[in-house]
Amino acid sequence: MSLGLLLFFACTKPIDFNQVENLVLEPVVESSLIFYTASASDFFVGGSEQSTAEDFAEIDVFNNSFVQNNLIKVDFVFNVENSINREYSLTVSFLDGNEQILETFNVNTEASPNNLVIATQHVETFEGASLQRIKEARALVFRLTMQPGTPINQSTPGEISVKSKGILSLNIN
Amino acid sequence: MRFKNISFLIMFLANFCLAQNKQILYGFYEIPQTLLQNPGGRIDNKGYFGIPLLSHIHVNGGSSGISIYDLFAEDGRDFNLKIRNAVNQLRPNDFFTATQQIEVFSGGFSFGPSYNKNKYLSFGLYQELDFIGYFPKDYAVLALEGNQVNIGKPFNLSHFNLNADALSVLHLGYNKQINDKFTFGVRGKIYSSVFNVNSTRNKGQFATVAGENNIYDHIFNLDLSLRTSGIASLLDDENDDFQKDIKTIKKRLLFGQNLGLGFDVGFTHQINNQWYWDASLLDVGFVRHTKDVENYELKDDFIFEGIDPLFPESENGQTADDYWSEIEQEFKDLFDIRTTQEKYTVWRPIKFNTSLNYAFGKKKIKDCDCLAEERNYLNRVGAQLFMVNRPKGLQAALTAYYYRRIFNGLSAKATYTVDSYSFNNIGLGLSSNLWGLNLYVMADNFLAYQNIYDAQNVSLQLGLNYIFKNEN
Repeated sequence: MSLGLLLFFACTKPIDFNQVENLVLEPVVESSLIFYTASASDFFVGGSEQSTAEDFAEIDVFNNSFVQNNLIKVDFVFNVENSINREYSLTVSFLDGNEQILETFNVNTEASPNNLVIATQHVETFEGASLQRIKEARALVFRLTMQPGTPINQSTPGEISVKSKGILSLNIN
Repeated sequence: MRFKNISFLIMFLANFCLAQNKQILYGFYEIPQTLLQNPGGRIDNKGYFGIPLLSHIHVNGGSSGISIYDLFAEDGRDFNLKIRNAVNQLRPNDFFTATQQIEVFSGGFSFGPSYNKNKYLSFGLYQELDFIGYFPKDYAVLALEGNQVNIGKPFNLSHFNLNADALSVLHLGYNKQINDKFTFGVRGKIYSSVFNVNSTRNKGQFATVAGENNIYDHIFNLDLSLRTSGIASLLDDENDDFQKDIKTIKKRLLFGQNLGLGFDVGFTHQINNQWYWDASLLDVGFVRHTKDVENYELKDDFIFEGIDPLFPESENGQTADDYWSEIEQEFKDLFDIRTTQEKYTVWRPIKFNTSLNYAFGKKKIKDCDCLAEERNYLNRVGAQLFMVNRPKGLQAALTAYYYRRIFNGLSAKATYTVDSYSFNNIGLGLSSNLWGLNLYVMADNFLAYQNIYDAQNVSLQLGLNYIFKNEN
């Protein structure tokens, strides 16, 4: 009886637990990606210019439902510093399981005639359809190309360095 | 998203049941169950038995930083905004707690020479559910914001901290009034665990800081563990027969596989006719978890700075793919959860009570003004201090009370309590004795009953006993 009395006095104001359904988490995660540093002489191998360096990595990061469902935007940010008197172009390609190119982009860097450091930033954004395509990627190919220009040798001064990060915008609900 | 529902269910429960303080029951000597709050308390009867399953029902839930209403009010405000505000406002030491107890049986009787029955034995079995979880602030911030706006800030992984216990307690208490001034008591307890989930020793951090070779270094320093007992067998059984699980739980309430020991001690010191002081220490004990144990551990260190695909430092012809595979393996190892069956011990939350009390307003006794005993006063006021040892340290509550014997067989106690939850907790308890039947009911946070969802702490106790009264 007393309990009933107590509950009788206990009042409530309207609340709605279904609001949980509206909860959206929108974290933005930044992660380091690739980096490298090469001096001019690294492009002079065995007495002659070697103008390309290429490699690939199989990647698994897109191959899960969390990323598939919740990743809504990716920005790739490349910070390049070049003091070699040659132009460079870094090509990044996303390949699917059959090694077909899904997406590709270039990060270009000017030559530095006086060997002063030229800093550039390149941002490549994937959203919507292009993001859908790279979500199918299973491999990444990096190809660094030194464009034609003043010949280099063992003692050519300068250095090119690249640092990069991915900015992953998530929308979890 | 299922995880969301579960976490909100926990918060919901936490808001509905409350913590361990029984400030209204404490010192309410007409009610035999006060002996469980102080085994050295004064005793008002020569014997009693609790009505099985009804003699003491206690639910208590609290949340130190936020109420259900703060989050779920139908006020048209954006729920995501409310969540973000809550996460900003809550501190890692804010907690959600829930306690529930049901006495299965209990009884007691006085003994000693017939002219002075100054000793008392009491016994019983009760079941208890106890949960405490701290607000995992840095985990919540990481989930809401990510690391982008938190570069350089270490996310503290110790913020995840919780313990849940379901157990039964078989106890036997001894109380002795040594003289007019002094009463003491002890109670031995055997704990029988139904289940335990314990994750109170997490350490480590995750941080994104400016890197040397690349833009960032991501520092993973993980030392996390979750220990469980009594859970694996309930989850693992091939038949998902709920009835069978209930049977298993029932069995464990009496003859649990994981047992523990503990004791309570207490005393009452009658300073003079009107003043008395008492204190008690409860649940000094532990449960040893040896059977049906399943622990999970995540312990590793790793710093990730990205990959160097074209000109790797190692000149041994490692390709980017090798290099990347190595990193992938590192990450797999990093988040590799180790399962063990290592035995472990969990200490019970030790509770401390003390109170100073002053009685006044003498009952008018017909043609006799002689026996000015304290129990002949109709009113009492006092201050009570309660402390409980929790995973992140002591929690305390201070109570001021007024007690009044309204007429023979009906008394009431009103309390005002200051604790982690609020500064305006008013509680009220009533105890009636009619033909030997003792019925009591008490609840606190009365001010919040205008809107119970806005209460950060609610507690309710009620029970029914049969009491053999003292003749005098």
